[in-house]
Amino acid sequence: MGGIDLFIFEIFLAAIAAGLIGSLVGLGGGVLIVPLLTIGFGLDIRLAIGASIVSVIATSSGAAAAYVRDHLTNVRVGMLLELATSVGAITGALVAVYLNARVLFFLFGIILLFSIVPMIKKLGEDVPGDVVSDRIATRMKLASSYPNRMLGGTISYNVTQVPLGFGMMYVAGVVSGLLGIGSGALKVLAMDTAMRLPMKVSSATSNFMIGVTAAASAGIYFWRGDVIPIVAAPVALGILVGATVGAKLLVRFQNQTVRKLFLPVLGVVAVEMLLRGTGVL
Amino acid sequence: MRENMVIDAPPQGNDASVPEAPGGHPMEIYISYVLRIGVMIAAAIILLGTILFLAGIGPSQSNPKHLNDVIGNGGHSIPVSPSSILHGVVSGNATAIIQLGVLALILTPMTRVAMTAVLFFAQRDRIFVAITSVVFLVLVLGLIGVGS
Repeated sequence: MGGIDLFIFEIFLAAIAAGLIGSLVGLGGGVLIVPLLTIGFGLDIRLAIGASIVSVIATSSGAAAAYVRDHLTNVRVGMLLELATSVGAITGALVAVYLNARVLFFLFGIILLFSIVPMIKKLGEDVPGDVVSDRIATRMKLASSYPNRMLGGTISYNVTQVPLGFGMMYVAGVVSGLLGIGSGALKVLAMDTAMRLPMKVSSATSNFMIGVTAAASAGIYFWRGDVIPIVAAPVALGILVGATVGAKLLVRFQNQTVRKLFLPVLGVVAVEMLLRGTGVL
Repeated sequence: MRENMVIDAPPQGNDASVPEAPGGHPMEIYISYVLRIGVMIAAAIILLGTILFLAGIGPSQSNPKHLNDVIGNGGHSIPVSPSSILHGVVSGNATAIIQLGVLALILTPMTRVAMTAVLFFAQRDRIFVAITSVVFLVLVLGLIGVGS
């Protein structure tokens, strides 16, 4: 090995790591794949985004299957919000053509930093208390419960501020279509801070929605020719392996452990992407 | 643990929030199967294409530093069309097979959405049938590559 075959092998290994970490925190893995392919492998950011958006479908669908089976996902909340994310994703993919690489790097860095702030601020709130379902949530029967792995039984929760969450989800969709990421951090942010869902439910439902969001824009990237087969293949396969293992680990970890594990990694990557966007690197 | 965490609480008027499909099987199980099988099929096709590609390149002559140097078009988009994929797959072209797998991957969430619509229909949940149908239409627009 030493040519293109070595690249394929290295990308495969890197994608396994990205898929593992990504699924543990409810992110699509794309937030790590794009920096890996651009900074790590010197690939054009547009092609990195193209490979990433495809792999995001694999991560999300693989992990989502496990969460759904374990009853962590709120299917109704997910379906409702996919309305906003899918339209947003198409918007993002169409706008992406008009932006140059620097802008994409910069936006990528901003989104990463943005996703770190709520993680630090609200570190460790697993189940928000005193939440009363709003009118829409009540009408659409969005409140639900999920199994408590630690103590047995189930934990009930309500859903609030649906319109605000819906709006935030449109933005998350645009970001996903624009940058080729699942924008799981923004999705979790909308469900966590606006709609006040429990952290585990937010993560699982985010993963559930990421596949649909990514599928909405992936076709546009695909026919545009930005999905290079020999790059997309090892990325998708690797991320799938990593995400499958990650999903099995998640149900055993407390949310705090998961977040703390990921925070420093996210920070370093964000700064690197921002520096590229501003032209320092 | 937080004091207001509710454990073993009776359902508070939200017992319809975990939708049951006809026959009493939870909707979650069906969705889980569709996602799992779709990803497996896509991954198998992509893996096949990758193996064919690796088998076809032979011993490496060069030692490129950047990924941009080794992919087909020097780091630029490579044109793709339904007929290029179809002809490629028929003739056993490795990259065309990978592209077919990528399409299968895109179709997986679409299938899940279509199936969710059917399950909501079986429950006579009109609002969610409408919501799910619109999401499906948006995905069709994406699949045909609207605007690209």
